[in-house]
Amino acid sequence: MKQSFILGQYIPRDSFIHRLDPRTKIISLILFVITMFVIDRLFIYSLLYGFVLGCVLLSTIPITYLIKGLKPVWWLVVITFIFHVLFQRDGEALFDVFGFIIYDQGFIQGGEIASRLLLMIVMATLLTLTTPPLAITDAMRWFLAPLTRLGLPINELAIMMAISLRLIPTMTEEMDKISKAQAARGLDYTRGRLRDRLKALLPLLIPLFISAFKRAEALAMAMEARGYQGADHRTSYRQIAFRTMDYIIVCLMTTATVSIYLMTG
Amino acid sequence: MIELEQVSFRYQNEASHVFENLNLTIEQGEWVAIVGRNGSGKSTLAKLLNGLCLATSGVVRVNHTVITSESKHQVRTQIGMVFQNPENQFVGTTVADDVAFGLENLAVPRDTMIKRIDQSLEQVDMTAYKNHEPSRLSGGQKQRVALASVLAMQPEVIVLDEATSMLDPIGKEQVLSIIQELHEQLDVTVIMVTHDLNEAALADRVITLNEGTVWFDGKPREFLEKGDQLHEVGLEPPFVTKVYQQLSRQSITVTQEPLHYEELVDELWRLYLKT
Repeated sequence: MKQSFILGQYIPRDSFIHRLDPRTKIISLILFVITMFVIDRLFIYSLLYGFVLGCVLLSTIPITYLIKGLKPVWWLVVITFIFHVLFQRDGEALFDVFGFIIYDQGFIQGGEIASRLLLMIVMATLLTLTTPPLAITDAMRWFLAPLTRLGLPINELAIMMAISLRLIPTMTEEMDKISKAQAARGLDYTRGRLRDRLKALLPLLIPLFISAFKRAEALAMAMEARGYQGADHRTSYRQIAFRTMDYIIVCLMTTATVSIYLMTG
Repeated sequence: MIELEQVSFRYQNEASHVFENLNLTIEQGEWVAIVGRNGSGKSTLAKLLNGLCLATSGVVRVNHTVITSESKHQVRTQIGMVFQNPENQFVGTTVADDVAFGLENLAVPRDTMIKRIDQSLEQVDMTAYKNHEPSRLSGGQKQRVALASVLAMQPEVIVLDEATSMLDPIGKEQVLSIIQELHEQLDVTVIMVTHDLNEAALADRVITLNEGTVWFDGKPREFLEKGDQLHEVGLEPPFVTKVYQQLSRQSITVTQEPLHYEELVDELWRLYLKT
């Protein structure tokens, strides 16, 4: 079940993309998304397809893995495309399918929007596949750091994120244990009407919440015992460092985005 | 040095005191086991030592500093604590991050941090797992990481609050042998809260709590000599002690009361060779 959808997972490798600073990757992703929304020429789409394909190859993550992992997304892309083809009313009428008049603009716009969706999702997936969640947290903390001056608890948020990430496997394991324990007591939440199934989830969720609260209390005590006094005035063990390659990538991405914008604008 | 003077403690919203007028002194470098039945207040006592609980009345002093809500943070840099549940004290996403957590709190510079992390992982023999995630570690390994986290902060006192009670026998033995080693090498004070009397027998001194008072305070051998009286305070004498007592009942005398299996086996061989 876990393997079927890969958005948000991390695959440790030692590739060029993996080695980039998480901030570089996030900036590049944002620039890429901006580019997606300014372009209106077909040949630039093919450039972007090439770019995404290049990134995937550089990341050494098998393309088949991406294709399999993004299965639900394919449907979304295909449906978006078909929807546009059927309901677009601009341009020249091409032919008639069961009373729907198909226009050439339908293909073009459908293709554009489906491509945007597809490329964006692949790039975002590539970010999480090649960057440990903790590194993304660190990068977000760096981006949001100026907001601490406005009194927003960015450092606290970063610690909360890190602890949540650390507890995901623990809680998954716990959920598994509880569901087995309840199954042993005759609970079945896989059959019956939707309402019954939702009702049967309660005996799973309540113990999970109770144990989560207990765990939180114990963890808070352990943190306090180890000298935690709030997230400010701490030093940091983990470091994210901009290397030469990161500067180059950010410059290249910015230049590319600006020139594409000027070309189309 | 840890001193408790006339310490009373009561949890909020609860009528009865956990302790009343408790007096206790623990010297630097001692290895003390605190034993007692469930609810005897042994875990609470551990929490009083680093300010996780504050005494309702009376004074707790660590190296002459009285623990108050202001001084408790400073005291926590001197007293490291390992808790019972390995899962609930692992803060970091990886082993190294977890050991770093305490150091980050103390605002230790990063260079020093890296050195201390390596050193403390070495001490608990977990260097090979430095970048592992907690979900890939066994309970015993997690407790060793917890111990490393405490060691990295270079405390004078290590408090183990039933730190081995959730571990399998192998994990337990590894943690205990590491503690033994650390105690010998670093001259840290070890305070071990436990209900395992075999474990308590490893200490230099055993303090038994019963209903908020000190029922016994002395050498482990004297403690185990109490034999059946231990039932009175809800403790089960270990097998070795039971064998010894059966032997004495049969008027078979051995040179001294055995503390653990090795000593028992020695005594039995001595008996066998005599006859």
